[in-house]
Amino acid sequence: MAYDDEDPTATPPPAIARDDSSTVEIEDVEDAEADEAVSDFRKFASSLPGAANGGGGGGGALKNKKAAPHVSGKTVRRGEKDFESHGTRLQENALETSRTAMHDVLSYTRTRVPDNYMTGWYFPDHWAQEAGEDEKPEGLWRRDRVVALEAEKGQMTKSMGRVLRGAPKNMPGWDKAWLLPEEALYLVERGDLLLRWPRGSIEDIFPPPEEVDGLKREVARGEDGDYELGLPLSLQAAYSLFIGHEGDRGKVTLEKFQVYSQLRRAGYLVSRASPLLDPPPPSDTQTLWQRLFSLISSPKSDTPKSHPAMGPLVKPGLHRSYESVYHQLSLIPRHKPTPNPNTPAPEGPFTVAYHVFKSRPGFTKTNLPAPDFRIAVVNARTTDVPDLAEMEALLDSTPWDPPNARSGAGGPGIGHMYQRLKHGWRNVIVAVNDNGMVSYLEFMETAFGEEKLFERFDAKPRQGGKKSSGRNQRAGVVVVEAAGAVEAVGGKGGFLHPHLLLVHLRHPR
Amino acid sequence: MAHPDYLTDLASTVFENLESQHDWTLLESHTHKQSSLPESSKTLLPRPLLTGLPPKRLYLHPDDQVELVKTHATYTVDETPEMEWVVPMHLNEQFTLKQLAEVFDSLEMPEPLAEGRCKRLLMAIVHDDSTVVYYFVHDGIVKPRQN
Amino acid sequence: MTSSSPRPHVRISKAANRYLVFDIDDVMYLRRNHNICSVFVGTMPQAPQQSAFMGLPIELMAEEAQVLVEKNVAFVVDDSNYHPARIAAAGPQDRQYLDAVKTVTSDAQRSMREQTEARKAMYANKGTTPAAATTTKNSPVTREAPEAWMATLTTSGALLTPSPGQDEQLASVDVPASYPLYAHLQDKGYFMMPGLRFGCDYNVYPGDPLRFHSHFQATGFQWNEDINLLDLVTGGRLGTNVKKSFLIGGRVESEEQHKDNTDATRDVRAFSIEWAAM
Repeated sequence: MAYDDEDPTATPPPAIARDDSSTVEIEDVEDAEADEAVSDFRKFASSLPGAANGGGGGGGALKNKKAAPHVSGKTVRRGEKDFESHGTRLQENALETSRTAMHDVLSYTRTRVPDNYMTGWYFPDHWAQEAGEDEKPEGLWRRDRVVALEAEKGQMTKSMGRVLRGAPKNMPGWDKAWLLPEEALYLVERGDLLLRWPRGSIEDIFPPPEEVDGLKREVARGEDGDYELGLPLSLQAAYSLFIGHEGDRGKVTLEKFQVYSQLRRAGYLVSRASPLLDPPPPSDTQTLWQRLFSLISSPKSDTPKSHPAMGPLVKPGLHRSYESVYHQLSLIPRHKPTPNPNTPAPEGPFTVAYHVFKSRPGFTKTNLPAPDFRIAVVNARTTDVPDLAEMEALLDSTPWDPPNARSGAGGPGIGHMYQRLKHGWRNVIVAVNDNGMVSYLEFMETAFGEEKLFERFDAKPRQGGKKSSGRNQRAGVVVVEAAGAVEAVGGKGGFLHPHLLLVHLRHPR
Repeated sequence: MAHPDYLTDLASTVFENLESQHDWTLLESHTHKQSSLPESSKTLLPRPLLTGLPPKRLYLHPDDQVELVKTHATYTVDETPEMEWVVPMHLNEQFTLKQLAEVFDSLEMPEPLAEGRCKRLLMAIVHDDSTVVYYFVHDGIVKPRQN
Repeated sequence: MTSSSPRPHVRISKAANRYLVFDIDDVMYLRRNHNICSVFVGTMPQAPQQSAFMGLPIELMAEEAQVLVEKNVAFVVDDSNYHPARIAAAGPQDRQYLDAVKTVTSDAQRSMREQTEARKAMYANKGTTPAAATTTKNSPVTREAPEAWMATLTTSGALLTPSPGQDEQLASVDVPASYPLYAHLQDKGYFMMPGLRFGCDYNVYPGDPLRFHSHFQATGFQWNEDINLLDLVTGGRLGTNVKKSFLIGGRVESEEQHKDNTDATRDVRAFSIEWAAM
């Protein structure tokens, strides 16, 4: 029983205080689709309002905002599935019913009653011309804003679209909210946005103030009425306009859009990552937590000692504390997180693409709070697992977020160790997208070297507790054998394996 | 012609593991294809292989599982063991589809395979600490067993 | 569905190297006749706050697009270029397209009117009116021009009809190295889904995933590509946990073997791996 105070189960597991409920929600979304259990469309179809009318097509107008169903995926139970085909009619019928239900549900056409939708006009080159190449680094992605909203309506625009201040007032559309491609496509998918392709110039759609009597609009009307101003576009057209390669101006990659829309469906607010939204790194290199730590840990303990080539690793003799033994044992340089790393900015896919916010009252798109999550999006088909340099660059591009009470990862002490390790010093989520299937992985910069377990071996015995009688009465450590102490074990990491015999002596009182 | 020593050693490690830990019987090592030719002109196998008899049946095709359920009121697994081919490998090794195909092509089955069934072998994977894990490899698309 | 009358080819929309199908009839046709179901990637407008049930479009894997092109049942159009060009080229197809939009809006209008009438009648019978009154007050129902209603069609339909002499721009498909294994399994009637969740190339189903659990996690290799034994162990072990076999395979690169087979999909050899539970 000499070592049972090293048994982690001896310590009551700390209550996890970190508020990561939102991460869990993301995982729930994934779990819901994780197994191959494909959703049962029969039950889903019958859960939709208007299902009694037969669903699709013309009935769609009834599903306007007020009637909008609030169907949670979890409320619809999945059907049972089989191992393989038995060739039975029962099985065939069940499959046929599912397929028919799927066909019906997906034959729906997006329609809305007047005034219950927004109209957006596609002007892909408007800001590209106006803003030029030298866009002010304001984090607004001006040149990517390609859809102008006639008017902002509803909940959605609380987090989407921006009026770009600073544009000249004689510029058509200067006072309109402009959407990014992912915002526009998501709104089209929801049925909230009627996307239109202008048949004329932007002055025809948004006349400058002096012409605001609307003369031009009247002139433009003909046999097709309002349609002659511009075509109402289909979902398919919207995809062809907004989906592009990485770096295409005014477009978004499909993998990013799918992650964006999945997060939005799950209720998060999402904005394109802008370095301006990140707090500056702390100027004081020592955080409060570090300072606290430095008070209780010996300053020399971080630098590995030099040892005689043939050992011994630990000087034979009497050691009065564990610390002096472990100090000599610390051979491997440990990673120490720093708030101001000089890592080059990340390049390529492992770059934070979106800032994600939990929905909260008082959220305004013009004054974004610090994001709750940062997400990089990679395509599983074209991206390999990141190497350490890529991961370091990605993590170091996120703000310093050491584990401490403020970040919700508990305070000092052994009881909070797992919380600290789990929280890490920086963290980022990587969304891996394989042809529309997305998995979310969280990466943390973590530092096991910051958790000095041996310190508690030297701690003063607790007073009075029954449990502490005997085994916590530490007196000293005698190193009796340490020759040939380090043996390199084969393998990529050159993993060091110290063979060392420590004798734990108990001095009866 | 003979196999390199490390393959022979690997085979004996697995031989002992099967014999001592898993109670296999009738274990045999094979280095050459079985034939009536004199020892010197037999074809060397791609790798040393083992055959042996496990104490009870190791594999039941899912169709046979279904058949058993149908024919017996209660589900009783056929306990009659079958001879298995074993290919010893080390965890640090790499292999190719081509090599796997060659191993299968060198296997001689004691009796012809039933319709729709294909060859199988037991891949014995040895780790440095002499742990051995066993995986069935089928020479074709074989659906998983249901449990 | 099994009639021999030629069905129009499935139109696959290629956008930035991704392959999308928007027409629900095409989607169901692929599902029923070509064991291809793919992933629904669109937000469902009827229930936009969940991700368990997804809507159009479906995103095909490049392998699926290629198989369909080889079977001559689909064609791939570079819609990033072709589609905007067709919208910009105002022409007679606009009228046809707008007619479809108008049909949808006037259907929606009529259906709304009928619904309101029905509700009114119901409440009149019951002698209570409040709900019906609110509805009529809040929805400016009947007499707007159809274009005051919003309709977003799922596909661009007539707008994409090529004008005579103008071909839709056929695009190529870039398939990954695992394509032979995909084509082999597809040919045998399996349904494949992306394998990300199971750490493989394809999640392989013996029938429509609506009805069946998958049997395999499959990963394609080149005939002479080195495979780490550890990858086989992890694949086999994971498969056991989720009641699947780990399937590896690839195109045979040998002059002698399978000489009689010229069909590329058959010139594939695959191996199934299961934990032996010992």
